[in-house]
Amino acid sequence: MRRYKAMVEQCRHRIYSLAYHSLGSREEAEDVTQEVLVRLWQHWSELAESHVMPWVIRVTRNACLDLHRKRQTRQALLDQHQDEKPGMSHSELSFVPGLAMDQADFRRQVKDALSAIEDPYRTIVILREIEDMTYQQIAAALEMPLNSVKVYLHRGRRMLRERFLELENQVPGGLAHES
Amino acid sequence: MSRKDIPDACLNVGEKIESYLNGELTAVEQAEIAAHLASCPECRADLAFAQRIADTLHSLPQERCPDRVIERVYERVVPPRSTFRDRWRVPTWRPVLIGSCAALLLAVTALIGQKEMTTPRYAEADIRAAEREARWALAYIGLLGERTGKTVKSSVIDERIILPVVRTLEKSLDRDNADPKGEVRNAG
Repeated sequence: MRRYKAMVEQCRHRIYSLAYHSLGSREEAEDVTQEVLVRLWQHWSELAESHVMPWVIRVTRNACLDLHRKRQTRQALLDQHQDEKPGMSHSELSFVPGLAMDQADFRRQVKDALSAIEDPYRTIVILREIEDMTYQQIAAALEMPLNSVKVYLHRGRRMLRERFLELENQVPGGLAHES
Repeated sequence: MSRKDIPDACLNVGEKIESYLNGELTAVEQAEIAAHLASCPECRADLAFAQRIADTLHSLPQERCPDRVIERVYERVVPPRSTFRDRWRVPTWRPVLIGSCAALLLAVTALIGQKEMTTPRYAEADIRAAEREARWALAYIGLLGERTGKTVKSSVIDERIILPVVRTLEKSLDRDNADPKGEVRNAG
């Protein structure tokens, strides 16, 4: 139990942070963290200590994916045309988007855009850009080849930029709000 | 303007803008994009936007997990610590305790019997009565074991109770035998 508690201290913030940035909700992030740590205890005897962190990230990502799917089910109509939307035209990009926004609003919109992009792009962007994990650590955690991580990250950053612009266009004069 | 109207050079920059910012392109590609940016204000605007998003992402803190979450986790994974009284209520402990007492009694009886061969101090009837009580206790353990479905391994009783008691008593007897005062006392 002492070793389990030490490991909880080591990975609790990473789990919570990944869940929060993925879901954009503190309440849901708390629930996910709790579930992941309880599952860690249930699987404790099967896991080598060096494998715990990758395992925890994988389980957290899956838990977040489940919640995203539930949301999508609720908002199926809204998301239906997601793939049909055209890419940003060059003219739309001919000014610096978000230029008029103060940093707090801009940051809020980045967070909204982040939780709106698809997985695994979202998870990889969070792990790399916010959690500051290396490509190798991400590849180990998500059990995918290193090159795939790089490709997903590249596309994820681009998707984030596009999603930001879509959100800006969807809500004229306003922003999608989250804490 | 639709996407197909965008010059190829601008599309190329749009594709690689984040990689350019992160210095992940080859030297040749970096130089090509830098040259294009110098002459294209629209792509410079895209670059500024991408840079701001990247900076904002990096500025997002690693969130701290509140303590209440961990408290809830421990409530779920750690069973509440039971008191001695709680443990005593658990029927599986009673046979163990009774077994321990019985085993102790048997061991003491046997050793006293051995000792009495040289220095008889107890009546034969008392020793027999003690043995009867010990046997009764052991039978009771068996009965409780059947009722609760739990058993106490005899090896546990041997190793944890009988042998330590035997060793202690043997040492005590040896000391008595070696002690001239004890000899005097026993003789007396």
